[in-house]
Amino acid sequence: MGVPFLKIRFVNGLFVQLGLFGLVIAAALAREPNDEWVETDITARAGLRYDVVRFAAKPGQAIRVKLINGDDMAHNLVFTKPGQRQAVATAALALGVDGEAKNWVPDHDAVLWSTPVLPPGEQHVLQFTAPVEPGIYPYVCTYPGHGFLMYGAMYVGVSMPELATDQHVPELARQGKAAQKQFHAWGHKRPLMYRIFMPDASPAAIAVGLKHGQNYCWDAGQCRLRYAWYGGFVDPSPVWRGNGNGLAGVLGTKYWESEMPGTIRVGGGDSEPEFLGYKKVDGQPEFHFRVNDTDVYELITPLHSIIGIQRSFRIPNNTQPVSLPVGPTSRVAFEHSAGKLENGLLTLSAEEARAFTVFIGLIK
Amino acid sequence: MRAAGIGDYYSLENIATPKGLDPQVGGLDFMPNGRLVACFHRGEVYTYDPGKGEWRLFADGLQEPLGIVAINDREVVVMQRPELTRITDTDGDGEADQYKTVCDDFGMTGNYHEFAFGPARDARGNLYVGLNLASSGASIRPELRGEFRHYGQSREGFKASSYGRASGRMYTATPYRGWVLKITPEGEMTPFAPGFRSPNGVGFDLDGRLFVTDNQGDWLGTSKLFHVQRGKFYGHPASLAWTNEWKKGRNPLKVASAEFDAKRIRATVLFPHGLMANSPTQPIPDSSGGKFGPFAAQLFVGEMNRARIVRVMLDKVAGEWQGACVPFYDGAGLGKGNHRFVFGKDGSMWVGQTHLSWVGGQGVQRIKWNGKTPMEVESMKLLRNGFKLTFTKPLATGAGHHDHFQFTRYYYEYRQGYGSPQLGTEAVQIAGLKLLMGDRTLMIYLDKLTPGYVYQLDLNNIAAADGSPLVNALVCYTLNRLTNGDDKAPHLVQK
Repeated sequence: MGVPFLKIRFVNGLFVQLGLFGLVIAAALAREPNDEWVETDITARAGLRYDVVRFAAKPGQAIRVKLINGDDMAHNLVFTKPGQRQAVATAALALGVDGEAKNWVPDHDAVLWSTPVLPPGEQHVLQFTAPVEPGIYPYVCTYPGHGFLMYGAMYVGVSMPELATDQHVPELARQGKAAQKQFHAWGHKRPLMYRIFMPDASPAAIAVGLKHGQNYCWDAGQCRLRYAWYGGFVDPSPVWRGNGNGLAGVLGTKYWESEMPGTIRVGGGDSEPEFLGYKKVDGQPEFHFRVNDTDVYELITPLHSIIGIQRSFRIPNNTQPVSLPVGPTSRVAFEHSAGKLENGLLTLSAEEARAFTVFIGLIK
Repeated sequence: MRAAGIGDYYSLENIATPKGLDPQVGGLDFMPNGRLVACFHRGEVYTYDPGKGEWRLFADGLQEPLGIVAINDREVVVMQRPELTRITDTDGDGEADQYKTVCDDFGMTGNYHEFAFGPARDARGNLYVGLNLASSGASIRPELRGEFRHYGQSREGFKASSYGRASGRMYTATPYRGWVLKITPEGEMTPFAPGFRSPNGVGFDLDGRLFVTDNQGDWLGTSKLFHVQRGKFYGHPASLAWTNEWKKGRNPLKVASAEFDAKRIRATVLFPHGLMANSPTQPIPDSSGGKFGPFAAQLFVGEMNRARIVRVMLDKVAGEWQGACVPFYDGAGLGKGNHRFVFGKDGSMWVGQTHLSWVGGQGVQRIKWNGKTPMEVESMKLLRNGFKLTFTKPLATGAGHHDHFQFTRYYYEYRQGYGSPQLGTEAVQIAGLKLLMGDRTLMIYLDKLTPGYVYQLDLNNIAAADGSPLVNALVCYTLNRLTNGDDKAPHLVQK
């Protein structure tokens, strides 16, 4: 991400000013303040990241953190006790239907301070006193699924290692400038797609980056979705820096990967699917392929409320029963608009199959 | 005499490309509306308005596109690694929205060397593409596209550690690697001709003949230009795995090269390695009708490794094409990596450069003729007992003398190994010279003419009657056959 890790203003002599305007406030903000404050703005950015991934404070220092939601998804900011980031994020996931009401902040001993969930464009200021015990205090977005990528750390009385080796910040931030590299003259506005060598797919793979940090790999060699991930998109440099002897890197967390070979089946027979290309729909490819002499279209779009994708199939004028391997369905939130699901195989009547939808979401 | 440079006759302009673009050019063409269209290394297709100097993104997301043909103002066909794709701006907003697969009926192993070149379009709209072999410098991926076939080895038996020895430097493991394919506009594919190693240059001349270049390496003693016809075999045996005869798994490495030599078509023109070209690219005919200088209808061929574009002078001998090559544009501001070409309506030549991490360059350049005729060898034709050289301008008085012409001959062995040294090198004595009327044409009679040799001519201190010195003084003629049709050359094969 190449962000400067510190965006801190040390407000020296603030107490002089506060002395003039309101000692009461100062007392409320900082029980035993040192002689300076830490003020930090942390902005939530597209691709599930905070722009500031770490900052330093002294034990007992007064802290003022402003969370700004600069993304088009909802986010919060939760500080936890040292080493408890993943435990808190996981506890938030477990809130399920109660999560929304609790701002996705779990009742967990390790939670120290938290903001509410902020809609896009809003901001919230969090004020507290840094712990007296030195340590590395994580902060994390506990909105479902975000916590695996979207976090940082407050260093209290502990010196920071080099960013590139800091295990308390996300991998992308550790990579620094490399991940920020611009590969095109047209920027990197999502949706975007590359036909490029991808891991765990045939050589005719397509990587697509949708809005809200959603990504998937669709295999044009086999006409099927291979996997989905969230976070960054791909690092194409292993392929592009040379003559193509490399694989693009998946930047983010895979949450679904097809475990069933084969693509959609239309009617009987095992005819090889024939890839016929795609049309861009709002910048997103709608794939077109032919199975058993029947035209099939698949458009994949991002879900908005949770991390996940919607697979919209069209088989116009279909006259035959259809089956679609969709497994795994047990480790993710899975829904389908029509048909019968059994052992990861969705079967649909000829009529149902003309237009149907499958949802894959991160949160069970 | 002052050294003449091609820059005295042509001007060269560097075309600025969009900031942030990796400007390695995979293909160039013109749309009918006069916009240049170019595809680039990271998958973009841009159009360019030469009048305004403005680039506009037309398409993106392609996988190593290495050739483009404009169909109309809204549609292009691009050859990318996995397929031939028809890309259309259906709503006319200047940006493509439809990507139709014209043909992906060939295999991919994921080996980096499986580049896909072309397309070249014939008069009927058929598209011809060239498929690279895989390199023993890398393995194949766990998942392939297409059938696996590798000289009788099983998929399990194919190991990264063994292929170097087992299959030579370049190999095939999925269908039609090492072939030129013909694809109808409707997408019907015919395997057209096997025998290629790295055919990074597919093009038609103005008479509709298909020419393909291939790169020095295993089975190629030096780089080549072939006149390609259906069903013929062009010398690199790896691709034969996809013919019925070889289906059962014969290993070409275990077959005597004489067997392949008997079947193969020899190069129309050999580009002597280290001298003329090391890595030839697209052949393009001069379609300017004279607006680009005195070489109308002749072929130009790009070269990657140096700042050069080569010119080819074809010669039909006993019913078959062979011919000579000569540097055309050397230095004078030209970059390396000269990869793709197109002529503009004004007769200027647009050049796109690339490197793909090998020796080369990047960017777009434009070459214009300034109207002055350079002194050059315009054509070279084989005679029964020598060569007929025609110059672009009358020779200066006294130029028709032995001292100005030095012939050397040598050959490149046809063999499994990587490249071939020049063998059998010897000077060839000039038996006589005769200047024809008009002083532009010179007959040079030689002592020895033998099929299967390159006849290299070095011209010394040649000038035109108007005082202008000869620009390019190195000409290499590939003598496959004599005027009586004799093409026997047993020396080309290792004993």
